[in-house]
Amino acid sequence: MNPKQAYCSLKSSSFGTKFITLFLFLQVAILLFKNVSVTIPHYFANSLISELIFHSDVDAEISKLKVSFGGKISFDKIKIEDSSGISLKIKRGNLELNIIDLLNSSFLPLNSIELNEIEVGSVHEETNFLEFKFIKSNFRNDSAYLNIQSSIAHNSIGARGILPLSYFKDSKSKEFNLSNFLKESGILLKNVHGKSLEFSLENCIIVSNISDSSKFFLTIESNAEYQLPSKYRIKDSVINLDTDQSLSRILIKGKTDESQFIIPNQSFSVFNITNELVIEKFNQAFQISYNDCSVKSSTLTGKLTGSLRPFKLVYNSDNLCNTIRFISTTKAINSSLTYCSEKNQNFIQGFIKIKPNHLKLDFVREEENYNVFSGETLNFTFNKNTANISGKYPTSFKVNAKGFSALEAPIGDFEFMGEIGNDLSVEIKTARGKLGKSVVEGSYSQSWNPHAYEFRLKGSCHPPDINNWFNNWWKSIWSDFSFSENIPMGDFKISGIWGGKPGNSNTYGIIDSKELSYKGFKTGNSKVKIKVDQNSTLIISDSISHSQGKISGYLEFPRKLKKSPIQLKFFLDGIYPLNEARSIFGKKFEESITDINASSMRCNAVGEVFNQTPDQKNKSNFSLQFQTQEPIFYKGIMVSDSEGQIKKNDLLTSGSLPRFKIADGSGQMNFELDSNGSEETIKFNFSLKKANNRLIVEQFIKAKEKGFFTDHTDKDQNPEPKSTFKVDSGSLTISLQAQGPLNNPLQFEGTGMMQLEETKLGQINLLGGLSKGLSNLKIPLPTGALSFNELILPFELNNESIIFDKLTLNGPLSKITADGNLNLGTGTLDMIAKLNLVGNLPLPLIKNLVQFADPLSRMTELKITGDYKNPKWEILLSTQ
Amino acid sequence: MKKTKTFLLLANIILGFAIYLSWDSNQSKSYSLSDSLVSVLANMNSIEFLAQEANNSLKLNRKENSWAVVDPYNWPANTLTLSNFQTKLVHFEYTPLHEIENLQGRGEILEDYGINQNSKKISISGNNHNINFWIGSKTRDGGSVYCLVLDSKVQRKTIFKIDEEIDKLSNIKFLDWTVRNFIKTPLYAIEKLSISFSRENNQTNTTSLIRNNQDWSFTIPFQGNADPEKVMLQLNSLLSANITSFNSSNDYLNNIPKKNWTTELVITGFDQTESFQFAPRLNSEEGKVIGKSSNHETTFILDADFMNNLNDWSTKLRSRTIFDLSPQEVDLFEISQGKETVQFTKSENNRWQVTESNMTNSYTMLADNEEISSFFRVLNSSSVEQFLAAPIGEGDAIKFKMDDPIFRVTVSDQNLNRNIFLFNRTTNENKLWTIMDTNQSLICLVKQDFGNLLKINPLKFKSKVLLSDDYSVQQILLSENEHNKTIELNKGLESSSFRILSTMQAHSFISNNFLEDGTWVEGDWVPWKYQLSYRNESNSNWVRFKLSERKGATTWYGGDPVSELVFNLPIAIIEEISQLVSLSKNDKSLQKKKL
Repeated sequence: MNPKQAYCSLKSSSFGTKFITLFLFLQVAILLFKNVSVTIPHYFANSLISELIFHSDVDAEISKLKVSFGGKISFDKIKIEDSSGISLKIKRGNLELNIIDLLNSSFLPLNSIELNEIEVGSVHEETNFLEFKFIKSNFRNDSAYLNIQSSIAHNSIGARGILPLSYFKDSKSKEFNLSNFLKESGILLKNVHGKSLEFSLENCIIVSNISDSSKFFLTIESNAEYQLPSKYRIKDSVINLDTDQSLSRILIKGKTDESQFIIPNQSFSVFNITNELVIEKFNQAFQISYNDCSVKSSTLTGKLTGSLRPFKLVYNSDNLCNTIRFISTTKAINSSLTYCSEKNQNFIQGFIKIKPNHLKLDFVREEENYNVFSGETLNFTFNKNTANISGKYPTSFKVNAKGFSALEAPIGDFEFMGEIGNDLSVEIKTARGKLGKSVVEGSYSQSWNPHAYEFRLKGSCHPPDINNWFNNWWKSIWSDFSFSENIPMGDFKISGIWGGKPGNSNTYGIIDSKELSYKGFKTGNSKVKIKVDQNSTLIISDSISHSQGKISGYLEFPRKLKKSPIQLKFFLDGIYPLNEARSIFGKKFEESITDINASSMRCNAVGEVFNQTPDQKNKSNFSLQFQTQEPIFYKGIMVSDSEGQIKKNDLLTSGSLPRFKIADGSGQMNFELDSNGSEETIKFNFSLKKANNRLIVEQFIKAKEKGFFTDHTDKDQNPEPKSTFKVDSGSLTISLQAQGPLNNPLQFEGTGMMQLEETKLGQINLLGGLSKGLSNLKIPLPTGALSFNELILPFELNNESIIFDKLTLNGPLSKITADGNLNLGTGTLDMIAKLNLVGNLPLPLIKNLVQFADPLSRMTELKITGDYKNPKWEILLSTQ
Repeated sequence: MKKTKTFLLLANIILGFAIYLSWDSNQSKSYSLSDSLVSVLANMNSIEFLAQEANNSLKLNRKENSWAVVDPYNWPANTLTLSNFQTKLVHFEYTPLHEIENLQGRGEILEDYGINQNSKKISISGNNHNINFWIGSKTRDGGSVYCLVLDSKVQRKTIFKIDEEIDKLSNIKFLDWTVRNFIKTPLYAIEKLSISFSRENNQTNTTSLIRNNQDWSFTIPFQGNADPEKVMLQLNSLLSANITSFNSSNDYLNNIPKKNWTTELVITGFDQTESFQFAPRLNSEEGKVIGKSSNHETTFILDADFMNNLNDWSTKLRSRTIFDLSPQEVDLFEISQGKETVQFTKSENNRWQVTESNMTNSYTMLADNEEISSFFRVLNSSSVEQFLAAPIGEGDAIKFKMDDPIFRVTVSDQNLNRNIFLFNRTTNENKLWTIMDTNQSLICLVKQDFGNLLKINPLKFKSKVLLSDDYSVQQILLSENEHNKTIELNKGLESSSFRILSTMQAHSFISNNFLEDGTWVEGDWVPWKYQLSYRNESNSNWVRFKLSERKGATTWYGGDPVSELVFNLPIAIIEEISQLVSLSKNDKSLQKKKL
């Protein structure tokens, strides 16, 4: 081609061709501008966003900022963080600018915004305060159409709505401080986040209407996987929120099909709640001016269990006063009660008429169910207290109950009159009540925070009547008392804090009784003081009369919650009727005195009994001084004129009985019992002088008849026949010093001496009948030679054996000396005795003996063996 | 050249088409039914539910800011049901399936989606924009239904897959969409209340009440106070009465004779008055009443029990308070029984005095303010059981034995207003008394033990203060008679014991049987065990009280040798002395304990 021609051809091309070519280029440019985007360098992008935010306290960072010529802007990540650590992160975002609006410099030149995965949180906290899955908005017709999916804590919130763009215009006109905004919204969101953790919501709807121009439809739902116990559960709820642009009056109408409020040990569920709430703005502050809440039914579960039928709570506020009104019209409760808060005083007026039998409300305590109220009527009347001198008690009230029972206490009639303070504290000045066996008058005070109460009761008191009103501490005081039909007069003050720390209650009371029984111990005219505080329960009396005399003293039981090792502290002074009052110190004591039978003894005792735990078994401390007035019986043996002192310190018990009489013999005894170690050991020194043999034998016989002093040998197939032998008035003197394990006398070791004086000693059942045994040997002895009147037996106790080497049996004509041992375990005797004729009797006797039977001439000793009750007697012949 | 031109033209057309397509796809992409719904629901002014098969329809319209059901009857709508409907509708997932034009190409018809002439239809409209939903059958995967949606803005009929709950929303339950109570004025706003019953002889019995702040009073048939709490309870019963059904038929309404509308309730609140008339139902449905409001054409049906709420207001709602005595306002309270009179009067310095007098003697002493208040409180708590005569007619006073009363009580206030109450018994019941209030001109029965209450023992009302106001305590000695032990408390040592004991007073006076070594109380001999001595600044003037041992948690007797009165100590003093005594016991070696 000739270049000149080509040039000319172009030059000469028509205007149409040029236009088409230009139009083609334009279209290509439009296509390019529309769809091609340019990535802004990181540095420039960050500078740009910093410039936009324009706040020195805030750091901003943006990644992959892309701009298309068609007006599309996108980014991959934005992070904005203020100096306090509150951060806003957006993972992805797209904005579409409206080019025409942009060229016209119109406000908010946007077609749409889409932001994804937005998080608001603090760098100091693990979880975000607020998360948005997305925020999408289209801008059309001067309105923003919003679609938001967000979550706070475990609640997901979906919001769709319409917002006029003018709203943003107005917002823009206000000074905007991003740092402050982040800080404040951070605090707000943190609080909302914290609170929302307490809520569990199911199918909740909120519709907000702001001056008819903006409307939002929100759904709120807790995530199904959320399992934590919530304080509040709300199900199937619809709330309408209407207000004007300036928020001067907000009307909230709502209904909730089911709602639950849970606190430890108690939940309160209400059903079909409708609520109308008006909030108004006064002096830039929002104030509830009216709230009307109706509840169709409600149930309580936990410590309180039951249901309440429809009721209504109405709050109303005006210039004069704020009132809360409780209204209920059901079979069980008929009430209109108004709490009115005026400038200087808060008062209640109205009434509650309860028919307790129609009210199903149970209280659970220590796994037992108590009907809170039962009976015919319980009426409360509240009035403004015009007779209120101090101004402290603006409400007066009256309570009337007929055939009424609280917590299943016996049915009674009550009449109270009282006052209620500004702080809702309650003062009942006069109360009269008749319940069960009690007829009392008194007064009552109740304050709040803490819920402190004080009862003051006076009258015929049957304390178990109000067992159910208090925890077990009250019941346990009275469980050991029994009252006759003659109800004692009581004067009590009981104070404490309802639901407070265990053991906070205090009781002081005096019972003036004509008849009373404590653990089977019957008393006559007695004045008993009861004092219960956080440390102990004290039962104290200066004078308790009983069938045997009078006694004073106290019993102190440390409160269980104190975890004291001590079970009981006691002090007694006076005549103690042991038989009647053997159980008052508890089972252990009762067991230890099983073998003692004493109608009364004068005593002074002080001590403490420890709880029977493995580490302090048998541990107790006490000191007892006693003196018997009448004979007492120990294992059936009568002991009279005794006095002594027994002390127990920790595991060591020592006793000193300087004087007592058994069978007209005077005795003394000291002992020391050591309970330390695996078994108890006793060390004692006992002596009894000149006890009357006859009496002692009689006593042993009686004791045996009563079941005492039985051992294994008594359980033989052939029980020993009852002795018909009559003992003369001989005497027995015995002393014994021994020690060994208390529960195994066969391991005792010690020494002793027994001296038995008896004119017909040979005839008593000693060694199977001494005289009988000797006579069976057919030894030719002169008449009377086998008559003995004294036995002297020094012995050594060595485990199962009683060893004696100098047993001497003296008689006017003869003397037997013996040594040997008695095995207490088997009851067998092994003894060699020598018979000596006393006073150098003439030899013919010996000769006669020799004549009598040769080899008897060789006889020098007697051998007594076998069962000690019926031993075998044999003569040992000398081999010489 | 021509070829070039043609090529350029072709290229332009292709590019232009490409640009058009890209614009068009943007446009169509920007259409969202959800956004469209937001737009309609936010400005909605009408909803219509149509169920051809069941021949049911329900229509709600918005007039200004109020929604009302307009078909099949006219009644205010339940806005919460409306909100629930709107929110659920706007939050459903709308999955577009096919446009109706494309169905034929797919070889399908609408019936395949369960949509036909009888399908339930929901129409919503607002801002000249309406959207219609025809609800079809369930989708195979369950949980959703097919819906044909026509959006007037895009004029396209599209089949969507929508959450099956839309089917529930389209079920017409008339009562759910209406407000169930007929009185719309809230409890707090009701200012006047009136009930009228027409009798056969054209007479009308009317009872009217009016509110003044928190108080209510009767205006018809008498002027008097109403019990505000009972009025509230009554109003609540009226407001809570639920409509059981509606009747829109004018024929039915016209068939009820005018004379049948015997009961009219008028309620005024927010400066507006609305009246309601009630008549028994015409047809055989017993236990129901029909009501109509002055503001609505639609009549409504209520349970007949509702009528019980309208009966006997003048008795039920009347205030039962007979006494309203305030110690601040009352100046004189006098009780006369026979020849004996006890008077409570205020002295010049506003302190109460009690005077006991008979025909010849009179004795006055300073009274205890708290005891007087307590007495007034008990009187104020008396409540009328039955009004016997109001106003008192001729012969009523004699009929109810008021010509010879047991007690006559005269009350006079600071403004010298005087009222006389006469007490007598007309029944055998001990606690039921007949009282005549001369100012209010009424005779009524009151349940209260006036026999006990008005039989005044002046000692009960005597001032409990045992040390005179001008006695400045410097030292207190508590000594035990038997053991010669003394506890000494001195002023100025910041001792709480001193502070408590220096306000020595009685809790109650028991008797005037003081003896040097003890006293008799209820038949029991009570010996004095302690002595409490007070010394003032002058050192010479000792005041001594004898004390027994503690007799109970709330009982500890004391005696004043000067006045010879025996009293019980208040709890605070009992506790304090008890503590001092126990401290002293614990420290036996201490003869004198200085605190």
